[in-house]
Order: sequence, then structure tokens, then C-alpha cells
Amino acid sequence: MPLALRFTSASQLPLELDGILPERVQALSQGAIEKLLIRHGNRLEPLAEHFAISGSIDDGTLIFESAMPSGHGIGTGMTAGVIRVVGHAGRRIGAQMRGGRIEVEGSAGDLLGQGMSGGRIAVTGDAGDHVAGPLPGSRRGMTGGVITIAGSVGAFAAAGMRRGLVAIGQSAGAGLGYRMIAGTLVVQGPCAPNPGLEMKRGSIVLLDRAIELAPTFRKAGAFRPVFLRLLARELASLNATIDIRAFGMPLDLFHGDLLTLGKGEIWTRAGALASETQA
Amino acid sequence: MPQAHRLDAEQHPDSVCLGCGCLCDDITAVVADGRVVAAEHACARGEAWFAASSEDASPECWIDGQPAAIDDGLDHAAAILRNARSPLVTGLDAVCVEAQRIAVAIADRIRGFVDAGGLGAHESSIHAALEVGSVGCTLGEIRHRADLVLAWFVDPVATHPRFFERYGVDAIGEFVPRGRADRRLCVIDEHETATAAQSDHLLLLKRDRRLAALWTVRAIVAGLSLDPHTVARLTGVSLEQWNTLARLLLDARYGVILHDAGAADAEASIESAAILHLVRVLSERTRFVAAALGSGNNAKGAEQVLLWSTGYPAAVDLRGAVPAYQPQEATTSRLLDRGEVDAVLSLEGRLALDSIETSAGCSIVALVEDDLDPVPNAQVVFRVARLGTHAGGTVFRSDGVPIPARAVLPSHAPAAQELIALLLDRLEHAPGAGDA
Repeated sequence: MPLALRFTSASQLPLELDGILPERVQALSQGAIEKLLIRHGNRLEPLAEHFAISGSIDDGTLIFESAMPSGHGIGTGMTAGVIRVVGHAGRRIGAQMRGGRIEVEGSAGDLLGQGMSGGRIAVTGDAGDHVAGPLPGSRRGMTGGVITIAGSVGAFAAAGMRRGLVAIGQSAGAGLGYRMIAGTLVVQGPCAPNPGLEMKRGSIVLLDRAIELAPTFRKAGAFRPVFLRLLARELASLNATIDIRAFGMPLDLFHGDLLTLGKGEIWTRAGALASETQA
Repeated sequence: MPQAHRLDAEQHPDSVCLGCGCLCDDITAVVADGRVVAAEHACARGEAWFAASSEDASPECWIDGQPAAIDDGLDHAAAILRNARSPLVTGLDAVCVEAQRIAVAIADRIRGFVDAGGLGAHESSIHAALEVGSVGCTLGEIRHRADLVLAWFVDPVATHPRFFERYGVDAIGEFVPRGRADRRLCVIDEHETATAAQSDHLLLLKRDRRLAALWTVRAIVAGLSLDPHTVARLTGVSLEQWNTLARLLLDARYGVILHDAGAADAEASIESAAILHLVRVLSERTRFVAAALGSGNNAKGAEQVLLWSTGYPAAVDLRGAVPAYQPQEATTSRLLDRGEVDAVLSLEGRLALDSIETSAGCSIVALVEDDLDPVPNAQVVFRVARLGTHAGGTVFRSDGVPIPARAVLPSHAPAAQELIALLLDRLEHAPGAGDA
């Protein structure tokens, strides 16, 4: 039986939930869990002031039962277990996560998987800006793990990403894969112009039929590499909302960003670029 | 501007004009009948700024829209801020450095967020400098050395009328002794602006093509070969024209890219970083710098004060044990848009006016310089003396040079730094303040 936390507070002020982790509450009694301190604005308050707590965490699962857009930092630093969020949640979900699984049955705010190094995050709705991005002051974004998002994402998704997999079921905003260092990013729907600017290495697979790349990406040809078939199998096993049939066809490969290292790859459907004359 | 003045007129040489980002400090303000009647050396914009300096007799404090005594207002404001769970101190860019320092102390005292304000106008350039690093200079260095000025989507002739005369294209400099004849002016803009009319080289570029253009120029300077059709399609400008521009940049002995501080959106952030990258790659071949034109406010001062007080330049969270930098979360615009604050101390009253829709349910304490009607959505409003005419204080020019502004007129209202010092005192010495 999972431990269930139902949001009972009417407050819209930021509520920091970064200490509420399955591995931490596992050893605590219900009374001790209720007394765990969380930051509400500029004060520390007991968890029970904002949540009705029921069940136990015998199976390692923690459920946030209601939408709470003002609840931030869910699963920060998580290493094991499962967190389910039923409804929309706030920012920094899975920040600095190292293991375990987070399932969001709704939409997530900005900074999903910020500085994440392991584990798995699945979002059934949309996510905000800076998915898999770096912590403030850091150059490296996500360094490991898997993020799947069924809906759309905002700006700067996978910016500075270093390793891992991000799959986006619908559209992506500006700055997609900006300063990407390595890792794999798949986007099913449309993305804003100029994805992958400043990328050094890594693979970005864009399955929309109209893509606009910066002039510093160079076409290498059309291929059907083995790694894309393996990626398709992985995405299928993750239940990612990606049309993997496209992976069976030859995809156009562009290398860039030639202004940085130029070892990045952007894969598109054949002829998806607005002009086939991309250098 | 007439040069003959009344005999009883009082002259204030070396006054500072805060009308635009030039912060001209060679103005002689002529005061008569309690107002500035002339501003010698000022441009039309500066004259208008000084002309709007008449002393007013409106109340110095309002509580819930009703005139009140300052002491009562301070007590009320202190109570609001002390009881707030998620307070924000913002609008620092509207006041002098002395007031900014106290504002940061207040934010620390009430354990809230502190941000320069300006609703994100300065964010992208700060982030770009942190990401890329920046090669900058003082405006004096531009005056004495720059032989090429590239105006990137800015129109200083219209927005900073004396910039070219004092720092830029027209000025006689130590290493550009013939002034304009020794310098080249390149302009890239969407329209034929006033600056474009004076240019030696003009490229018209659609605003949504800025990133493609910057990547094109960077690639050419870096020696990459580009496909002409791709470049023309992505930028709307031929590769040949970009090659010509790149040649001009590389041939410069000392070049400067003038740009504005930028908006807060993703493209502006990438654009600011790309300008700094371009400067970096140009600097491998010649001397190049980037300079933000700035505005008449003290955004640069806010950045400096926040840096030396908290370690971070903007969007600082002081709710915890140590300051935290939250550029993607704790900027004024984001906090207000998301309704995540329950009290705001705005040192820039206009911000309180503009955010009326977004700050419902949030208590506002505002400082205003103008003779405004009571700010409708603020619980407490203080009228403070106008910086530069009625109050003195230090402001930072966009190149990071501090400029001391002096009062040339008396004021019934206190200076911003005096007022918020009283507010800090109330917060520190009120009953129970030690528990805060």
C-alpha cells in the first residue's frame, strides 16, 4: 500500500517539497512523517499543515494525490522508490535525481529533471521550460537517466544535456538542445527554428516534417543506422509517445554545430528541411 | 536652449542627466523659481527630462489611497513586510546605489526574494555574460579607440542622442583624431532608422532572422564555408553581403558592437550570448568589444549591488540560510505572473501600477518619484525625491562606471535612501523583530 499525501492547503505561495522522498520516509512512523518540515514561503512548517497523510510506504511508493502547481522540488535528489503525482505539479520535479522513478499524471512546471543524473521521469501532460537543464551556475544539464513527456515542452529543453535520453511527444520551444554536450533527444512534433545551436556532440531526432536548422549544420546524407533501431526499441519499451515507424526509414543526417565541436547529429525525416540545399 | 538666463538664476555645473543611458555628466542645470529652466549641453531628450522636474505639493505618503503621515506609512509598511511569507523586494533599478544597498538589507531581513526589476529587460545580458564571459570596455575607451561601430538592432541617434557626440562615432578620440572621418559605422536593423541614415554600411534584416544572421557572421569570421542559397534563405541577405560585413569587422583596429540589454525571452537570451561569442571570435584576430547601450535607470547599479551583497547579479532568493540564485524562477516578472509573492516592496512605483492585474491578493508597498495619483493597487505609497534633480545618489552607467548624481532642487519629500533606511530601522527595531 503506498503512502498517499493529499494537498489540503489553499496557499499559492511556493511550497518546497525537496525533502519528501520515499527512501527518507520509509524508516519513519506516520507521526514523524507528519512532523517533517517543509519550506512554505520563508517559514518551515510541518508537512501535516498542508497535506492529509494516509497509508504506508511498504511498497516504496509515495503518491501526491492532488494537483499542486505551487509544490516545487518533488523528488529532488531521489535515489530509489517511486513517486506518483496525480495532477499538475510545480517546478524542479526530479532535480538532481539519481535513481528511482517519478510519474506525473498531468503537467510539470519548469526545470523538470534539472541536473538529473539517473532514474526515470514520465510525464503524461506538458512540461515547462528548461527540461533536463543545468543547475544555476553549471554548464552541464542532465547527466543520466530517462525523461519521457507525452505533451509539449517550453524553451531550452535539453540545454546543456550531457548524457541520457529525453523523448518529447509533441512540440518543443526555442533553444531546443542549446549547448548540448551529449545524450539523445527525440521530438515527435514541431520545434522552434534553430534547434541544436552550439551543440558539441549528441543526437537530436526531429520527426516533424518541417525543420529549420542554422547555417552551421551540414548535411551528411541519408542513413538508416542500427542505433536508431535500438533507440526505437528502447522508446517502445518506455511507452514513449513517439511514432517509431519513422525510425525504420532512411533519415537525413546533419552534423553541427560547426561553430563548436561539430560532432553533434540532427536526424530529420527525409526532405524535412525547408530547403534540400542545406550545405 | 537659450544661453542667457535671469540674474537670480542659480547654475549647477556637472549635473547628471538620467534621461537615457548616456548619463551625461557635463550638464549645467539652471534653476529659477524652484525648477530647472535650462539644461546647457543637454539634448532634446535631456531637456525634457530636466523640464519634468517641478516640485510638487502632493502628499508624501498614502495608506490605502488616503493621504497619511510618513511615520504611519512606515509602521504600516513594516507590518506588511514583517508578516509576509513570500515577500519580494524589486524595482532596484529605479533608485541609487545607496538605496539599493538598504533594499538588499531589507530583503535579507524579511527573508524574501530580491531582484533588480525592470520586468526582465536586463536578464538576457546578465545570463549571457555568465555563460560566455564578456569582453567589455568603458565608453571612454570607445571614444578614444573604436574605429568601427556596429549598431546591432539599436538606434542610438534616436534613443541616446548624445552617444555619438560623447562616446561614439562623431567624437574626437586620442587614437581617432579625425573623429567621424576615422570611423566606420555599420548598422543592422529591421528598418531604416535615424542611425541607419548616418551609416557607412547598412544591412536590413528581419528581427526573426537575428540568430541565423549571427551564426552566419560567426561562421564566416571563423573561416567556415557556407552555402549561399542556405544563407540567403535563412537570413534574407546574400552571403556576399555578409562576407563584406565580416571583412569590415576583421579589418577594424578596434571594433565595438552596440546592442541593447535585450528582452527576457529564449531567443533574446541566445542572441545576447551569440553577440558575446562573436566578439570572442573577432578578438582572436583584432580588438573587439560589446557594449550594451543601457537606459536611464540604474539597472547596472542593481546588478553590482546584488553581486557584492549576495554573490549573484539578479533573482536572488534570501528565504533560506544562504542566498540562492534562481534566474529561471525568482525574477520579478515570473514571481508576479505566477502569483508567488504575498507582499512586494517596489522601489519603482510604475511597476506596482503595471502589475495590477497579476498581483491580486498581494500587498504592495511602493515608492514613487512622480506626482502620481495614489497607486491604485498599493496599500502604502511613499513619494520620494526625484533622483538627479531633487535627490543625489550614485548611479552606474551601462559600462559599469559609477556616476555621482547631485540634487539641484530642494524637495519636501525624503530621498529614496533616507526613506527605506527608516523602513529598515522599523523592521529591525519593532517588537519581535529579533525572531524574524
